[in-house]
Amino acid sequence: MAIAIAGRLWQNKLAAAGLAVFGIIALTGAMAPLVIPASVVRDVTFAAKLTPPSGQHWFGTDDYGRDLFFLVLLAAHLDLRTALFVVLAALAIGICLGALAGFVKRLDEPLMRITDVFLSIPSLVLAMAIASVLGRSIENLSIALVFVSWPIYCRLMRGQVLTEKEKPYVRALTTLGVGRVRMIFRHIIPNTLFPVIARAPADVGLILITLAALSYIGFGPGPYVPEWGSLVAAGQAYIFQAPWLVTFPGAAIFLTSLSLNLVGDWARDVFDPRLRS
Amino acid sequence: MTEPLVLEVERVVKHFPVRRHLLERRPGRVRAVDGVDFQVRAGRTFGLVGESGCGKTTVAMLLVKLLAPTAGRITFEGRDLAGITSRAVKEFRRRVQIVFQDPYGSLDPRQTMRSALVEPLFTLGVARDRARALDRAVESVEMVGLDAEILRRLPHELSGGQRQRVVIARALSVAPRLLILDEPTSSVDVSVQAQILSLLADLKRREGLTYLLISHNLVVVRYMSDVVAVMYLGKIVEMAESAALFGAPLHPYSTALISAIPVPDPEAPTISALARGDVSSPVHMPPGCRYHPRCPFAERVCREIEPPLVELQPGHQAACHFPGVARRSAPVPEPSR
Amino acid sequence: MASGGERPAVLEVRDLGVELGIGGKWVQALHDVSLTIRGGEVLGLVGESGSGKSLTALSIPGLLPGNARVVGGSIRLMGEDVLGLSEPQLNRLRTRSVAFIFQNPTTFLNPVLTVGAQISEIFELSPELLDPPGAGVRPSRRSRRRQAWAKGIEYLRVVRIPDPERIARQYPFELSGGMQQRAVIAMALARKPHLVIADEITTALDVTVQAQILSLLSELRRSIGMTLLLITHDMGIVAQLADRVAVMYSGTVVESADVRSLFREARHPYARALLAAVPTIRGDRTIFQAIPGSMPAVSDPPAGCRFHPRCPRVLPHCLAVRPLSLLVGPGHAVACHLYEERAE
Repeated sequence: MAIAIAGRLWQNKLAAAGLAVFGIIALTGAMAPLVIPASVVRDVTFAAKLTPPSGQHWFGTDDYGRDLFFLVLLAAHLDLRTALFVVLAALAIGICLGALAGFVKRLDEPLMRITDVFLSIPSLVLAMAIASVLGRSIENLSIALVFVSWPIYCRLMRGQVLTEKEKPYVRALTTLGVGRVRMIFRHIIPNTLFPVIARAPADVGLILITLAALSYIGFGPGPYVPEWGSLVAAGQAYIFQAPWLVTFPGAAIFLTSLSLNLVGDWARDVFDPRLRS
Repeated sequence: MTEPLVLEVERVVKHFPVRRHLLERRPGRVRAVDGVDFQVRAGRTFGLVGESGCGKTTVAMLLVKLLAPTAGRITFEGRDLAGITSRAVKEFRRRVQIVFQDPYGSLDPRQTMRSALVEPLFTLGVARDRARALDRAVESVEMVGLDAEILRRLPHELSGGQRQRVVIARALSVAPRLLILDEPTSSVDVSVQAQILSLLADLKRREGLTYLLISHNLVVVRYMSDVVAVMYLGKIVEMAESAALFGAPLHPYSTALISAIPVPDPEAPTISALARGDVSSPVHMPPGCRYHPRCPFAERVCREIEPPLVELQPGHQAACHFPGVARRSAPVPEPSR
Repeated sequence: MASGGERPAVLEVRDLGVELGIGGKWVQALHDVSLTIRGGEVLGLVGESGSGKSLTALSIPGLLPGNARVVGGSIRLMGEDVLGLSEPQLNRLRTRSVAFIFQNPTTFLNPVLTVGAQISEIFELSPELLDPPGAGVRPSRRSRRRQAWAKGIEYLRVVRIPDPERIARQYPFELSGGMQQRAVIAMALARKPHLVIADEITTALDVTVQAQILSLLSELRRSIGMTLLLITHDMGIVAQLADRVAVMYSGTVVESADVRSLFREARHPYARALLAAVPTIRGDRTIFQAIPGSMPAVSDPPAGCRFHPRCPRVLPHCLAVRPLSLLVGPGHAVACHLYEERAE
């Protein structure tokens, strides 16, 4: 089975490229804190500020004189960890609540109204509101972003469950003695999970961009937390003098987002038996 | 008719409330099944015929307890379906099985055929361990003329005919007493249809099954059924032994249905389109006889009084004020404005 | 049935080959498909699912899906080659010469326009279809529109829609399937096409409604001499309406003949088997014969004659060489090795 998947991956060069790129970024992120001392963040040297990329500083330096290359790498670790956490947490909450809404009619109405409330507030505003209550650490921002992201998954899952429940095979299985619990866990949920999960990789990219937006409007974690978004936001002021400040972290966000999208599309196609033929 | 009674349907009604839309003052009801009576006896195939909206699929769902009747009673092997509670439901499901119209839709797209066949054996308590369940699965699959190798496949890897056979095998694996077939050949090609029909006839002989066949295809119904009931807009309009109904139909709708089938013989006379217009809406039922807007022989009484279903000849019931009129007279030409 | 060249051929398809792109490869979906339809004739194109009948029909007005390409043969409509036409030329073809009626009228009709608006639009866009104005009279736009509307109602009446003035003001969703299909037929006829292609147009309808539509087509055939390519899987419909029949199997025409000859003495083993598989009522018994096996998938056809794995009269030659279509009687062609020596 693994061989078959590997074979399919090779066929789709784009997805393979995506996986490779993401793999490199992930590896970088994983290794970064082990290789680069955290002190780099506080290594403020105003004398060396805003120097372009050179042999000494591969990505140049920022307005605090810190080596951008190390910052970007450290940020990889933080960003990936954060985005992954947010998406996974949002998925878990969204799927559970969505399934509940789909199966238990009495919970459907209240749950949908709650998601309505969350969805009616623009995500940035919501994140800002929560962040201002909890504080602007990266952990609190993560929590804020979970609040922002779960309603969509909830809605999706509920919609999928409602549709799936009406499908003829559910009727047929009922006449074959399959009880409600078994129906839900062995049949309906496995068939509904994938379209919902398929969104997740793309959402990782969205989370990164939202983090950048938060930093941009001043709700970021601050200059001493290496985060791609806040690097881009900080670099925006120097975009003509020192374009590398925006380019490299921006490229990082872009590449991560793109590669995950490609892998996500491919994974969804591979794991859906209907699309397999 | 001394065969034991397997199924008895008495004055069964099923209405669905229609979600009201803003322009309607009173919510309507879809009178899907509006008072149906019939009996199915062991070993005698019962055919239920009708076009869209006649209620035959709803009847099927009522018979397998996927729906509960709004009124009336359904009795299987002497027990009222309404009285069968949760423990006995499994036993009931083991004895009444149904094959739905869409074989692709009836299978979980993620389940292998082996899993699809083994699962009901466990859920209905037919097998107790995996080995026996697997044996039974193989047995069922071979009984319908498929190779055991098919157990490894997923639904989308099978052809339409194979899927239909698997679904039949699944239903038969629990050894039911009554098998309900809802349009078993409507979604397959002619050659596959022929295979499935032969298979069904064969199985009936070998396993002593009782079938309730639902179809809009009169030729298939004629081939398989002993007793036939014709449904229109929720009611049975004619019911008789197959030979009597097809030989000498009494209700104009039966005649229209029979003569509407294009005969695969270029020398045969061209079909006459006896029924006019389209099937009325089951929400806004016409007054009097439900069929009158389409009937070329409708008279004033037909528009005012609904004819009851009565036994006009021994074993032959029809609900019409002028039974046999379609065979006797030429239809009144359709008014062209 | 005169098979000579008395009436000119409206449609002539010769050795058409079409490939489909499936799973990254090109597979041959149609090979050596040949059909001829003469003016006023109804050709029934029969086959089961996967036989290629819809694909054949779609290639005529250039409606092949994106993953299909024509790889050989010719299609001539009124003597003019169709395969070489550009898209604007094809558009004109589809508007004027060929009318295609699909199985599902709901997807064909515009849901936001009334039926009357849709059919009168045809006349508004092609004013030459309307009655010519009197000498020296220049019709105003309003009078043209009124004329178009009236003409539309006229056509709705032709397809036996009751109370056409009222129906014309209704939207498609307010009509039943049968009425919608009649409206579509009216729209098809409004353009006075040379050829009408009907692809399984009654499959989605109830049998009594189907009977009405078939009866309508039969009458239209008589009254306006419609030339029709009728695609169906139902042998009964073919027997009822068609003058000539072409039977397709796995991408090619295996037999073509006039309808009586086909039903009385089909030669190709598949055609015979197909006829025998249809349950027919003989006296008080219903008889039919099943065909073992199933049609091969497009992507993995057997070598030689594609029917050979299921053929009751297979010869060793059949496994290796694909049979060509040969005449075995006037207007009667069969693609089968059994008839090779006896071919004229």
